Formats: sequence, C-alpha cells, structure tokens
Amino acid sequence: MIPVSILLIVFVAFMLMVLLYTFFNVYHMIRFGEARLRTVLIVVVYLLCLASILGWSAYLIAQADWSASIQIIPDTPLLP
Amino acid sequence: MLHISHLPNSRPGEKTVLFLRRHWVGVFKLVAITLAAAAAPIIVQFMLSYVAPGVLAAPATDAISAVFLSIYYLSIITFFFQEFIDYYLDTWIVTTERIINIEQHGLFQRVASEMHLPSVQDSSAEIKGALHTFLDYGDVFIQSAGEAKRFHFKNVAHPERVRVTILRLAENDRIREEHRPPSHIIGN
Repeated sequence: MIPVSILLIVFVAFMLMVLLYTFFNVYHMIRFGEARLRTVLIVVVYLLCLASILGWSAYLIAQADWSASIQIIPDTPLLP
Repeated sequence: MLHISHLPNSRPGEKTVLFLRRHWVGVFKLVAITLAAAAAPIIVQFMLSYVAPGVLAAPATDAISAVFLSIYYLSIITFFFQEFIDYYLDTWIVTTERIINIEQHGLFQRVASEMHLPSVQDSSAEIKGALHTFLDYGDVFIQSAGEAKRFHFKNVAHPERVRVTILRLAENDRIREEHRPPSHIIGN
C-alpha cells in the first residue's frame, strides 16, 4: 500500500518544470518579440491563464482526500 | 524587443516594406487542437460515469484525478504557448535594402539571416492545396546569387504579392546602386 500523497511530489516536480518553461518562453517573447502592445498582452493573457490553472489545481488538491492509499499488489490468500 | 522602425544594422533611409508571419490558419489549427485536448478529460469523465461509475467513487480517485488533471492542463497550456511562440517569433522582414529571415526552432535555437536586395536573383511563389488556394496563402522562395541556401517564407499570406514586391524592390535597389555617384573621386 502506498499513500496517494506521494503523487504530490510528482505534481510539485512537474509544476517546477512548467514554471521553468514559462520563464524561458516569456523571456523569448520579451527579448525577441515585436515591440508592440500586442506582445505584452499575449504574455499577460498567458500568465493569467497559467495562474488560473494553478489556482484551480490548488483547489482540486485541497478538496481531495490524501489519507487514502493505493494497493499495488492485490491481496491473495495463501490457502484456498 | 524587435523594433520594426529601428532594425539592427539598418542603413540611413532604410524603410520596412513587409513584415510577414505565417498565415493565421496555423494558429487556428493550434487553438482547435488545444481545445479538443482540453475537452478530452470532460468527455472521459462523462463516459466513465456511465460505463464504470465505481471507478469514480473509489477513495483514492479524487486525489489521483486532481494530480492528473492538473498535470494534464498545465501540459496543454505550456505546449500551446510554446507552439504559439514558434509561430509568433518566426518572422520575415523585407525592407528597401534587405530581407531578414528570423526563425525560432524550439526553446533554445534561433536563426537570423539577411540577404541584401541586389543579390536577389529569383523569387517564386507556391500555393498548394484547396485551403491554401481559397485563403490565398503559401510559400515564397527567394534565391540569391552564388548561394546554395535560399530563403523560404513558409505559409505567408498573399505569396504572389510578396514575390512581386520583392522583385520590384530588388530591381529598384539595383537601379539605385547603378545611379549612385561613386563614393571616392580621384582628383587631378
């Protein structure tokens, strides 16, 4: 039996990767994008969408029951 | 940031004539794929509620689906923005003096090259397919003198108009060069 809360480690690791990717993507847009308001708006809209998804994820995770466990190997009786 | 009116290494009097990106159809396809991917978990949950309702009622399902859905939607939005940046940062700029080809390949590769107008030898436009024909977008190829590589404008709007504009600018630049007074005059 493994606790479900171990998945939170996976989620945090993935979230850090997403934040790193976001940093590089925003950097590219600011550095190489066209110097117009449109570029800034695109970046702002993306960051708002990302923040919304992160907020919704936090809500879902807060609502879940983390005391449950997952059974990897099913119980098998030794005697018939 | 890239200032269209102040390009790097610009000559005095140089003006930007065309600023091109790939046709908006590419973004439309990307948005459609993203929306379809975003709707997939909702459809799967709907089907599971009819086919296997016990799965959704299991004690660990809430936690597993919370993590899975979070990772899934974060992946979708990251993928979408990455692909959008690839579209947005691929630009072709035609000025009165040169053609600038800027292509973004993934996260850490960016290629920028220039071709001066007098060296443009040939230009061709290609429109293939029904959608391309109806929406008037396609590829433009610019061949310069003495270079194996050529510029390839991918899926730009009005390719024939772009081709004609480039050839006209190249011809005007050649005429201007011919009539330019010599930069050095050796006196008697």
